[in-house]
Amino acid sequence: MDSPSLAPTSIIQGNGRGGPPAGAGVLRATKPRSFWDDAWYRFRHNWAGMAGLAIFVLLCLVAIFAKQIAPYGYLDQDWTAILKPPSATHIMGTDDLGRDVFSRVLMGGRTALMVATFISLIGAIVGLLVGAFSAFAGGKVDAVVVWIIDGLMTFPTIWLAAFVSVSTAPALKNLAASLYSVTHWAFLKNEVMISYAVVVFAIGMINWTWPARLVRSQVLSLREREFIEATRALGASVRWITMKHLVPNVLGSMIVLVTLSFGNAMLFEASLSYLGIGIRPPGASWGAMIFQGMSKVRTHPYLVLAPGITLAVVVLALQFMGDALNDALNPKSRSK
Amino acid sequence: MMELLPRRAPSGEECSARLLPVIDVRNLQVRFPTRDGVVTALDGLSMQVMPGEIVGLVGESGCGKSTAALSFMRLIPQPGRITAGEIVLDGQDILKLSDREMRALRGPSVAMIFQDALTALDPTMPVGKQIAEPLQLHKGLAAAAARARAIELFGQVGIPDPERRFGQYSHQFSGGMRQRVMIAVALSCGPRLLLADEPTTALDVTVQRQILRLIRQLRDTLNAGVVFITHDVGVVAELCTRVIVMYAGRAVEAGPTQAVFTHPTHPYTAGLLSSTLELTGDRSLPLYAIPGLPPELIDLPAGCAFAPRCPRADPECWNAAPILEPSGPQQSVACWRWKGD
Repeated sequence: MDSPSLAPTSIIQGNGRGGPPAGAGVLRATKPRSFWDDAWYRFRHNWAGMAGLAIFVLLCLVAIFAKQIAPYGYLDQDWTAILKPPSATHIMGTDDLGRDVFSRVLMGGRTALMVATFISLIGAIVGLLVGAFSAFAGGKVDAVVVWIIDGLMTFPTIWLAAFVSVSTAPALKNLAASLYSVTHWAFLKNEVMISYAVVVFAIGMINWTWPARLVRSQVLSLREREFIEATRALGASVRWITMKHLVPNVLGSMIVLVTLSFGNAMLFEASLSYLGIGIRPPGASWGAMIFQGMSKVRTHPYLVLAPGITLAVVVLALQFMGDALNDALNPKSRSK
Repeated sequence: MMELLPRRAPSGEECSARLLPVIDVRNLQVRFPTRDGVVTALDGLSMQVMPGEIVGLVGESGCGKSTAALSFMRLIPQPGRITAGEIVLDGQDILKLSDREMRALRGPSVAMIFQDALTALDPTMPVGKQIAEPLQLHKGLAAAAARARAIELFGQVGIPDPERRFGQYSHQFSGGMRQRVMIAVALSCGPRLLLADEPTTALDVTVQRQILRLIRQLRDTLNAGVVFITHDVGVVAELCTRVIVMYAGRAVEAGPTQAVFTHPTHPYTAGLLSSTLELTGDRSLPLYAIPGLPPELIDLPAGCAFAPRCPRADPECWNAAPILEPSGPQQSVACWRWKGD
């Protein structure tokens, strides 16, 4: 057959707007559309969320390939180019030690991403365990856990993080030193690495309270839901119910919370570094860069603006992404 | 005490003919300690269900119907406890079993159909997997085998296109189809006793019909005993072989549906029947309603719990609670004044 195909594809075209296959009627069997398919559909149609996701993906790529992208080494000093304003050779200028600001912003992104990832991971895992344990234990145990969580939450987070950071830094340093004497791993002697650990530990110690509270309340309310009772009526054990029914139902809210707390963790890292109790020099941190630039902000504003705007954009992107995820995963709680 | 069937050692013949009750409840009492006092949700309930029999439990909300069903699975919500009595399920005294042994019975021996399938199905799990779940839990079937069996069950409960439906989620089903899924979940392990807690209350009348027909069909194929909980007298009349009328945690009348509904001996049963609408009834008369409200279970009057609302009550009724006594060939009633004046 030479004639062009006459297959009646036109009948089963969608509605032309890329919407869900609704108008397809009998001709196209509706594919099983899971909750996650629906959520992705809703997320995709939220431009702010997609922009946030794009910026976040960009940040991840930049953080991973920072060394390849950066035009200069982030520690390289050029004595002939001190405090030079942005130009073709140094697109964000240079600082008072002649280091390329753009390269340092890239490396700062790696720091921020790494620290925030660990903090969020610790928060999610500890929060999940503590929250679920508390809800299942109930009674006095639950009451005590809730006291601790509420107690921790009454303190301003940055104050508490600063306190933990300052008071645990020497202990962690000693721990690293004694570990080094056994293992001889070089990174245990690296001051910058230890300051990473201190920041992660300090913020991680506090940040788990949010996920813990969320998981606890979710488990408590889910436990009363009929489908959990129905599963019990089928002879399922607590473990089975937890793995097959509780976790998948908590996952949505958890993802939202972790995304939102990811941006917060970045802000905390920057704040601690700004205060001089976070990432140690010469490690690159946006917070520390802003602090160093503050003394010259009148004459060389780009020193503050470059890391400051980057931080603001990234945190905002994560906020948009979190909000969009919330709308996508908890469509009923939509605030519109 | 309500003795619906003579209690004697079963002969081997009877066992093979499955004449043993699938559940035999004696004198069951369930209590909930609360801040304001002890609530007696069930008091001295005795009942038996034979294989292939559908027994209706009727009564107003809060009379203990659902508590009864949950106690048959030992799933009474905290802080409720079975404080007295005996439940023999499929030959085993379940009050003496460990938690693990009890879990093994839920599914293969006793299963439950819930009222609202939308809330009783997990929104994040495809329905097919939920039907396969008990098979994996109890029969240790591998995922593929469980899937095949689940698809078979879809057909059994009348869900068309099972292959496709398997992977869908509960929100993609209509109310009636969802209830069919619930039933398939309950049936998956071939239970000896099926507890149906108002399975048709949330459905359209036409769909209700279909679900009732399905339950009757399945009773026939599985020869399972069914406890059908409802407040709809019409559904009981249509479906159940025997009926137990409950009031304030006690059985007030029991017997074959036909006998109880044509000759109600308890004033409460009579009241329930009078407050149903009839298609050909006289529309000019207001619909009858039993005056007053069911009592708080927390401090029941010493006498008959129904006395405050009873048109036939006399001072004697307030003194002591009546116990079930025969009022007909197979009928029994708990009332001081059922014989009339």
